[in-house]
Amino acid sequence: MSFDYTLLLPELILTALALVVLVIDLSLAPGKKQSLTWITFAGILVAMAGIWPATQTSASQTLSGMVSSDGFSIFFKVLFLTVAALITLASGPYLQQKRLPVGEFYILLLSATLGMMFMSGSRDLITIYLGLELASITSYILAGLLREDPKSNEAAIKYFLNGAMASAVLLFGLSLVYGLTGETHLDIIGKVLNGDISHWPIVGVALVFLVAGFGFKMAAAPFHLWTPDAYEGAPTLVTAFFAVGPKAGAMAAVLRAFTIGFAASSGRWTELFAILAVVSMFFGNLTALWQTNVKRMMAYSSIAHIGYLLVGVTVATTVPGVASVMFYLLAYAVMTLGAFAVILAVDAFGPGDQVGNYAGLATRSPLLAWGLTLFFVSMIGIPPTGGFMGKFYLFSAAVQNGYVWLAVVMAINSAISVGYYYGIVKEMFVGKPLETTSVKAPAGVTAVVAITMVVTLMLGLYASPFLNWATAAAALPRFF
Amino acid sequence: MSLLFIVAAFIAVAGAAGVVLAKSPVHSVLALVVNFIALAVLFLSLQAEFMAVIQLIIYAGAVMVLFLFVIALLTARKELPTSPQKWLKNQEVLGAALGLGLMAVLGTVALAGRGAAAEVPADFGSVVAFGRSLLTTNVFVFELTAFVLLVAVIGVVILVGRREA
Repeated sequence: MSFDYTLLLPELILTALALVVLVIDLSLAPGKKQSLTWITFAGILVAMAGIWPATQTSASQTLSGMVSSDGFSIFFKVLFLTVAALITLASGPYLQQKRLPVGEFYILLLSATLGMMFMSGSRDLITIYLGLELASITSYILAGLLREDPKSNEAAIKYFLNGAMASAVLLFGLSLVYGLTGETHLDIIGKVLNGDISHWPIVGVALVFLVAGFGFKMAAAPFHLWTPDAYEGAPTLVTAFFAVGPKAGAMAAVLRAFTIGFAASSGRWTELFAILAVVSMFFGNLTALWQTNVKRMMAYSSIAHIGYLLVGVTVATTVPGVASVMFYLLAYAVMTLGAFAVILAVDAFGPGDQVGNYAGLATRSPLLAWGLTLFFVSMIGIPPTGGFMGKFYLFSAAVQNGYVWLAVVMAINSAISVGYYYGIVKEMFVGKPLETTSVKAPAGVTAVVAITMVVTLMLGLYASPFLNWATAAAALPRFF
Repeated sequence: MSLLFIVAAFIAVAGAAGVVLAKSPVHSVLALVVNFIALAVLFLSLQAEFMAVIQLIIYAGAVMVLFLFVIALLTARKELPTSPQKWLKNQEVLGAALGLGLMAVLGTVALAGRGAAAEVPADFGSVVAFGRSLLTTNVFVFELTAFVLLVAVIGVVILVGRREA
């Protein structure tokens, strides 16, 4: 058998980069590790360039068909590498200020990204699971990086115990599927679980386990219980990564696994995801209203956003359904990273992470305040932002496929979410600042805020190229 | 269903119950060893020799010894850990009810789906078949697992290792 290495070039570069960082880290004296930031950043850009050869070959599957490098996985590879690059850009001074282990942080970030890339590119249950474990184990460690902070320890322990439980549930579901089909390859599972067998009750039970397992990983209510504590306790930079990376990875795995492997049982799992979507939206938005800690508020807000995304998953049997989820993930990643860059600046280089700490930010640091306002506007779903276009596509995909009630629930929830986003915006522009000096945000963090602001507006004003890209990528991995 | 299977299955369930019910952590670990050995016998009765051997050597042997060491190092005190404060009343009853409910559902669908299971190849689970699959079709999975373990080791060093100021 032959391996086509060009298809795996980004993954190979990322693996090599992680090992190079590991070795260079050992040779650098403590406190003199700033160069690692730029090595990692440059390496991620090289990995992104490594995607190019894969787009030029006609082959799309390698390693006995376990991993594919089609348009769908290329879309997600670009997304994951962009997230990793932006996190790296914002990281240098923050790691130094919090005395976090620099080299190890980058190794874990790169490994998690690698795991997520395998989650989106795999056509086999084994590699999907291994990618998921790679992303999860690194996340548990990242959550506990602040060793002296009991809240960080709490975050790591809770994330680990809940995550291990979720893995067990997921594996139980996968083992039922394997027992039924004798195969782990999604294409063959899709062929075997066709016709009569797809109505067996045991397939339904396996689906429940799989939905619950993936639901834990993407923090959909009612499997979200670890999220607020993990988000609050983890270092803010890590929280920014949690809010985007692992969720997008789990979403990619769900889109691939359910539409290929369980296409014939789609009537069952779409119902399950519709329930999760409604519960996540209402629970996330209503609980976020009562939060006084901004990181906790963002945790509940991210649960609500997973709810919006699951509206798209509910209609993922159609190309517009998958494409709208992919587009919204892109918009969500950009606006969430931007919002967290501001939260990071105010938390680590300013007053703190309570809502009251944002008082008068508009006069202290206008760029940060206006940036956060733009990201919140995008999260609510007001034009001309990426969040609006994303919600619009999700909405129309749901309506086209007869889920009008789900679209209505989504609109109601967008209205509810105004309540908590507005609280912070009001504080920033009307509240009286305790200090008048500006928040000393490092250049990298400011750059991330500026880049994500531009991209958020771009996704709102010039959405069609991105949507066309998502639609083309979504049309590839289906079989029906 | 052979007598061996029934006996081993009951011992496995008894071992698992012992893990939960035992007051002292050391007794829990010993009950888990019993459970693992019974599971190894179950694997053997299904002609999965490789799984049986691995179960015995890695789990019942290495991992459990490690567990005992950890418990010995962490709980040097004599007194048993007191049960934590209960936020939810009748946890045990609720947990048992939900667990039995899950068992009933799984049992029902498994019996209803009997015969739906995929055909098992003749050499399934043998050392030869396992090794061949591991080093040919799944060699990439094997390598990826090594990377996952490397990351886990790095994590241990970060979280519990000594740190320079």
